[in-house]
Amino acid sequence: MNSIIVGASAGIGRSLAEQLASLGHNLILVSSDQRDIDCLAKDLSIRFNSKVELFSLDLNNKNTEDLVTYGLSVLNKIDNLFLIAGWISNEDYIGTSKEIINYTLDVNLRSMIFLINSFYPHFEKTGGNIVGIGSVASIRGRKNNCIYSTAKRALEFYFECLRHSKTNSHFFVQFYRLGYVQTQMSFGSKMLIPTVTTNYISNKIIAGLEKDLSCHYLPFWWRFVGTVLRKLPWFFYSKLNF
Amino acid sequence: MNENKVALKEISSVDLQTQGKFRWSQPDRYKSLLSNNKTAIIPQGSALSYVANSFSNDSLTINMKRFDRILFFDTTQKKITVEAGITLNKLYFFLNKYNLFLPIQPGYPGITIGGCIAANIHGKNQYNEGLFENCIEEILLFHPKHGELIISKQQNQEIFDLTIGGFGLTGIIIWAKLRLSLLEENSVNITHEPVDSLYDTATKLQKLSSSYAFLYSWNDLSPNSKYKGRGFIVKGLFTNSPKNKFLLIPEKDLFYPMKFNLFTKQTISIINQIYYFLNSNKTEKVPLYEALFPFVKKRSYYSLFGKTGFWEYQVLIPHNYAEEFCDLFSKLACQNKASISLATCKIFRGSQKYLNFNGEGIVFTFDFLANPSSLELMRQLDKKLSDFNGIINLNKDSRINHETVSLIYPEFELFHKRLRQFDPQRFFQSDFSKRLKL
Ligand SMILES: Cc1cc2nc3c(=O)[nH]c(=O)nc-3n(C[C@H](O)[C@H](O)[C@H](O)COP(=O)(O)OP(=O)(O)OC[C@H]3O[C@@H](n4cnc5c(N)ncnc54)[C@H](O)[C@@H]3O)c2cc1C
Ligand SMILES: NC(=O)c1ccc[n+]([C@@H]2O[C@H](COP(=O)([O-])OP(=O)(O)OC[C@H]3O[C@@H](n4cnc5c(N)ncnc54)[C@H](OP(=O)(O)O)[C@@H]3O)[C@@H](O)[C@H]2O)c1
Repeated sequence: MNSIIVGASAGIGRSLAEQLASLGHNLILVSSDQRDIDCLAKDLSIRFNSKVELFSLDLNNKNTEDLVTYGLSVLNKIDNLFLIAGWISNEDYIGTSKEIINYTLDVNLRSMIFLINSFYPHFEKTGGNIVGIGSVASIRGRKNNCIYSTAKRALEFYFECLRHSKTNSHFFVQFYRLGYVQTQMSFGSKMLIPTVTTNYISNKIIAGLEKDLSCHYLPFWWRFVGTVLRKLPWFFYSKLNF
Repeated sequence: MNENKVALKEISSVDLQTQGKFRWSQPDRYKSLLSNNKTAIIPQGSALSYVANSFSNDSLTINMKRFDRILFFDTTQKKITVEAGITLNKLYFFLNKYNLFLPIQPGYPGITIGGCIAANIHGKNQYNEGLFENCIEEILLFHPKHGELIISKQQNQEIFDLTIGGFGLTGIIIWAKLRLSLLEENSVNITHEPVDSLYDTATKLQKLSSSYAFLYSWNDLSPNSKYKGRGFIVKGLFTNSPKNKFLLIPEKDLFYPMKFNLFTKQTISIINQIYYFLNSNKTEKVPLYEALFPFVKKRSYYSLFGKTGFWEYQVLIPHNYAEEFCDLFSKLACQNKASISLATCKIFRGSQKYLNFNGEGIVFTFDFLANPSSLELMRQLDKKLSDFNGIINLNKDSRINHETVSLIYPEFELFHKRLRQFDPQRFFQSDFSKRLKL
């Protein structure tokens, strides 16, 4: 199997890279800093004897076509595209700077749309999996993390469009709404609800391959939390401070 | 857009003498690891040190556990390059597949390579193997003012010497290239030889020193034993065992202090007696993993001290003073009615440098219940140490101060001076470095 992981340098992406390498996948690791993925690539090829290539790409600039060209040149066929990368600012509120709005939308949404568009013809032809990552932050609008959750909600919507568009029956699309995961993204935040490990998430993502999943909650019990939050009358919801 | 995220984290030294909430970060990418911090910083491995050498009220702790990758491996040269946050556990299981291992390792697998280098730890037989520095080929060190430096015995030797056993005060060790040994046999044949006293242990250890791969003692210094120190010497030789099952252990959260102290003046005598009778003449074959990391099966030991913790006093006494030291120790322990839960001895050789716990002689280790009489006994021993040319392991003793250390460590002032020459702004500081006025 050949897989590309966008956002492989840390957190969920790194854990996924380790799990996939242990299963014998050939990998292309993508993130903005070459040094991190270079170290990870060395580690994975030493420990699992797998073929690991790297491609440094800042999702802030939209040269996603280069990744398709590179991916096909080194792997020939791509079976799985994992779009894991994400970014959140601690100044993400209504009225934040233009710079933060643009960066958040670029990394979490626009680059993902560009990447999907670039890879779409390949997957239509050969089949495979495109995996996207959303967040429970986009269940309902809040005053915190508003650009990030807007981007994630829009990404979710775009994945629905993708599922609707694809015609190859061997082409699968999975989209996950993640709860709190122990990574740098959630580091230092006080969580009301328990966090899960990156290994838990990456195992579930691997188990979900070859299925069509739209807006699948991980861990599953976030579905109930989500339902409660959505059903809560605005009068009460507006009083919540989280 | 990549700043180091900071949290307040509950951290304690293993002896529980220093605890609190400290500013803590765990970078997982190079750009945040190498970013400029506004306050003093101090690197941290697994925080499995007895003393508070990886945190402080005024410093930001940089935990290295996310930097745990293998960057280079050559089975024929028997060399490996690893990031400093890798644990001995991860390394052990990787190397085992290639019949290789690290010849010098401390007693717990959760410890990181960065921690082994920064404390220049000793293994099960320092006399034969020396200190951890003997496994090191080269290191990549990061210092905010000096940038990234390759340091080794050949390159930047001055900084290399300050860094080995330098308790993280010269910078962040990013990776290290290590020398490995061939693992010809996967088990250790352990035999126990009874001894009558501390001094009997010291003389027997000296005779046995070059014949065993693993060599240390267990001595009973509980009140009922009249502080004589009867016990046994643990002798280990490599052997092959067809049935070699591995223990898999949780790497973190070694210690869960119990709400009450099981170790009291009364109970330590009973516990030591039972331990002695169960083990004094034992012979067994144990998997190498268990022999290297004996604390895996004895993890609960630390929790038995309860929330008040303990003090460890580890001293290196030259052979010619060993008898006098043993007599003095028994006398002072009797006078102070000391409560010692554990005593062990090892044999050392080598030359002492900077803050390294190294030299020729016998190493005596005592774990004291944390009470005023223990403190008084250690204070009295401190006073006598310079008469014996003895040194205290700074990495084990949470109370020793600058005055005592500068008296007993001949190169303490030199370390202080050279550290300041290398880093006049003293970017790297810990509770330990402040206590010793480094
Ligand atoms: C059960 C147990 C058994 C032990 N057995 C032995 C033994 O047999 N022999 C022995 O000598 N010691 C022994 N020790 C002590 C232990 O080996 C040392 O204290 C070791 O330094 C702990 O490593 P750590 O990864 O937990 O590092 P920490 O405790 O987190 O840090 C220790 C020191 O290393 C520095 N440091 C850590 N990582 C880096 C880095 N990447 N760059 C620069 N500095 C760094 C820190 O600043 C600090 O000064 C034992 C401890 C325990 C708890
Ligand atoms: N952690 C949580 O609690 C949580 C909850 C819900 C959803 N999620 C989602 O889960 C996914 C993974 O997050 P994580 O928690 O693993 O976060 P993380 O540890 O911060 O990792 C984020 C990954 O995205 C990459 N990335 C960020 N900005 C980039 C850029 N400009 N260009 C290229 N790559 C970039 C990072 O690589 P570089 O920085 O090296 O470029 C890194 O590999 C994200 O989509 C996130 O939104 C996380």
